[in-house]
Amino acid sequence: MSGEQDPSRRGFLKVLVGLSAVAAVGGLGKGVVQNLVTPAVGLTSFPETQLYWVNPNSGNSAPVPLKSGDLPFESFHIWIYYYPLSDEPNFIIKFKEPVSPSKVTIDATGQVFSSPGGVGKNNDIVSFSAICQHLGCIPPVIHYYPPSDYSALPANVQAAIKSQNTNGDLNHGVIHCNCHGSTYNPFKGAGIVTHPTYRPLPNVILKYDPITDYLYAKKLIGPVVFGHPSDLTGGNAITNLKKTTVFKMSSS
Amino acid sequence: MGIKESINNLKNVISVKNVLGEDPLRINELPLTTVPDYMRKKGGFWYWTGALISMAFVYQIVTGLILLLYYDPANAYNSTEYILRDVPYGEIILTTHLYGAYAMIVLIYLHMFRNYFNGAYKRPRELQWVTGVILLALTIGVGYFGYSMTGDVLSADATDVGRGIALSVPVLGSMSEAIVFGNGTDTSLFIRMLGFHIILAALIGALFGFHFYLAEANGMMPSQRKVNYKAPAVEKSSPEHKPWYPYNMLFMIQLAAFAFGIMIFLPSVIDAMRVIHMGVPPIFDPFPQVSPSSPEAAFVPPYPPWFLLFVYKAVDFKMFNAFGAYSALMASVVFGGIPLIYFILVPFIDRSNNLHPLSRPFFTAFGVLAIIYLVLLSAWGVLAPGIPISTSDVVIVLVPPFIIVMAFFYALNALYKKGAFKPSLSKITASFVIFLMILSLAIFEFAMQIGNVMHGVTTGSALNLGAYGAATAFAAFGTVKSSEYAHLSMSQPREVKGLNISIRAAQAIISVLFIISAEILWLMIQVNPLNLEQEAAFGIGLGALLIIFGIGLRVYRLVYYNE
Repeated sequence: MSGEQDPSRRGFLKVLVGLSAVAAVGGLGKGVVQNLVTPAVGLTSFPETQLYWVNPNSGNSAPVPLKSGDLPFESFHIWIYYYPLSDEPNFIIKFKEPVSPSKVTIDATGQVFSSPGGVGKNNDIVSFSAICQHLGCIPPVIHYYPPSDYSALPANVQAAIKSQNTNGDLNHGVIHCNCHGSTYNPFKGAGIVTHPTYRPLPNVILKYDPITDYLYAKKLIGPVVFGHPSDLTGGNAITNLKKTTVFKMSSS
Repeated sequence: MGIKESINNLKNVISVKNVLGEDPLRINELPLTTVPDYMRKKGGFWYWTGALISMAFVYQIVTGLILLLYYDPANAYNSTEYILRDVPYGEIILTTHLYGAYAMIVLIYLHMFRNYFNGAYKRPRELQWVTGVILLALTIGVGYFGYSMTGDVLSADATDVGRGIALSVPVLGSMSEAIVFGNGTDTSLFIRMLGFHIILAALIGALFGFHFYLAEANGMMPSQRKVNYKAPAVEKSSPEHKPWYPYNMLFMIQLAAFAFGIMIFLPSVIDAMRVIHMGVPPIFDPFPQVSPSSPEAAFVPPYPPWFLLFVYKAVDFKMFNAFGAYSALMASVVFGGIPLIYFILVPFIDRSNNLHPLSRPFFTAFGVLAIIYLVLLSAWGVLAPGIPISTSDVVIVLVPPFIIVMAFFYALNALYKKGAFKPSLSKITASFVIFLMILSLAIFEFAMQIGNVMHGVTTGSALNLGAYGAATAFAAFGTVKSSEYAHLSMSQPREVKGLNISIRAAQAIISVLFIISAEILWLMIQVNPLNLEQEAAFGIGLGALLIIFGIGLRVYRLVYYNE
C-alpha cells in the first residue's frame, strides 16, 4: 500500500486511534476507581436518642430511662454508651458541681468551639466521645480519673495538672489515655491538658427534660470522632435510633 | 528556522521511537511464536480462540478480584444484593463477571471442538490436549462454585444438589461433602464456595500457563493441506513471518478490545432489558434471584447453571433409578464423567496420523454426537425441567442421532477416500446459517412433542415426535457439518484478499469513530453509578468505546499493514 508515502496522515490516524483508546481506558478507569471506593455507611443526620440504663440500685435487669438524678457522681467506673454509630462510644460523667459553658481550642487547627456545659437537674452532667483523639484508643484504655485517683497518673501528668489548675478547673478529675498519655479536662469541654493529642475530645450535646428528668443525646460538636470520615459515617448506626443504653465498664 | 522545521524537531524529540528506539519493550526478543499473515486477516478469528479464552480469563480475574473486595460469605445473599444495588458500577462488575464466565465456557467448547475436528490432539500435542480438557473441567467447576456463591434460591438448589451427589459417593460420601460444602452452616458453606472458587481459578491459571507453554513450544498448527493431512503438523516461527511486534501485538490489542468490548456490551444490554422489565429467561437472568427464605422462592424454576443442564436432565432419566441412592451420581458419571474421560484419552485412542476429519469417521462422528447430545440434553432440561423421562423415550431421543451421524460419516468417509467430496466455503457458510436456524426451531418443537408424549402416547404424538426428532437431528447434524467444513476450508492457506479501502476512507472512518467515542465518553461521565438503568447504559457505552477502538485499530491495520 501507499501508506508510507504520507507519514503525517499516518501519524494523524495513529493519534486518533490512540485517543479512542484513551477514551475507552478513561471510561474504564472512571468505573473501576468509583467502584473501588467503598460506599459509605452510617447516617445522614444526627438522631435524638434517649439514654437508657440498667439501674444498679433497682435489681431489675431491663433497661429503663436514665434519670439525671440517678447517675453516680465522679464515678470510678467508666460509663459508656454508643451514639450515633455502633462503633462510637461516648463517656457520660456527672460532677459534684454545675459545669458552665466554655470555649475549647482545637490546638491542631487553632479553631475554637463552644462547649455547652452541663445538663441535668444540677447542670452537672457532660458527655464526650470516648475515642482518644491522638490515635484512637478506646475505653478502658482511655478513661475518667476522678480526683481521688490522680496518684495513679504518670508524674508528668500530675505535674501538668498541678501547674494548670490555677482556678480549680482540674479539681474534678481528668480523662487520661494510657496508650500514649493524652489528658483531657472534662470540666472544660474535654480541652487538652497534656499532649500528645492536639485535639480535644468531641463533645456530645445532651438534651435534658426537666419534667421527666430524662436525658437525650442530640449531636456531636468539636473535632470529628477519631478514625471516622465524619461523625455520622464510618460504621453502622446504632440498632435503635431512639434508644441507647449506658453501661458500666470497670477500669483496671 | 521555519515553523515546520521546528515542529519536526519537536516531533523528533518527543517521538518514542527516537528516544527509546524501535521495539523498546524488546518484545521481538521474547520467545513468542510468529504466525503467517493469513491468520491475522479476514476469517483469522478461528486461529485465536485460545487467545480469546485467555482474555476472558483475565477479565474474570480482574472483575473477580474487585468483587472479592465486597463479597461477604457470612452474608452471601445480602452482600450480592449490596454489590448489585449499592456499590457504584457493582451491577456492571457483577453481571459481566457472570457473562464473562459464560463467554469463557462457550469459547472453551469452541476451541476444543475446533481442535478436535482438526485432529490437533495428535502428536506432538497429546499433553497439550489433555491439559486443555482438564482446563474445561476446572472451568465448569469454577463456574459451579461461582454460581453457588450468590446465596439466592438457585444457588441454594445448586448446593443442595451438589451436597446430595457428594453424599452419595460410596464410602467417602460424608467426607467429600464436608470437604466441599463445609459443616452445614451457611457461613461455612459460603466460605467454602468462595475458597474453592478461588482455588480452582488459581489452578486454571497455573495449568493454563503450562498449556500455553506447550502451545508455544509445539508451535502452531499449520493448515492441514500444508502437511498433507498427516500428523505431526507443526509450524515453528519462521523468518518468512512478519515479526511479532508490532504486527501481532496490534492484532492482539485489537482482539482484546473486541473481546472486552463485547463482554461488557452484551451483558449491559441484557441488564438494561432486565431493568426495564423486558423479560429475560431466568436461566440467562443476569441478576440474582430471590433469597431462598423469600415466599417468592417457590416460583423460581429450579434451574442449574445452563452449562450443567445436560447433567441436570440426565438425572431425570428413569434408567438411573435402578441405582437407587446412587442414581444422581450415576447420571453425572455417565453423562459427565465418561465423556470427560473419553476426551482426555482420545489422543491415546486415535493413534493414526490422519488429520482430515473425514479420514477418521468414528472420531468425527463422536465429536458431532457430543455436540448434539450436549445441546439436546440442555434444551431438554430447559423445556422439561425435572420431568422424569422413561428409558424408552431416552432411547428414542438419543439413539437416532447416533445411527444417523455414524452412518453419515462412514458414508462421507467412503466418498472422501475416492476424492469425490469437495465443498466450497460460501456454500458451506450459507448452509450453516440455514441449518442453525432450522436447528433452533426443531429442537424447540421436538421438546414440545416430548411434553405431549409425556401426557399420553398416541399414534399422532409418537409420529410427531419422530418427525421433529428427525428434523432436529438432521438440522443439528447439518449445522455441525457445515460449521466444521467452514473452518476446515478456512484453515487452508490461501491469499486472503480481505477488505480493501483507501487511506482517505480510512481517515474518514477513524475520524467519525473518534467523534462518536468522545461523545459516548461525555455521556458516560454524567451517569449516576447507583442507578441500575444508567449503570447499564454506562456499560453499553464502555463496551461501545472498546469496540470502536478495536474498529479503529482494524482500519489502521488494514490500510497500513495490509492485513
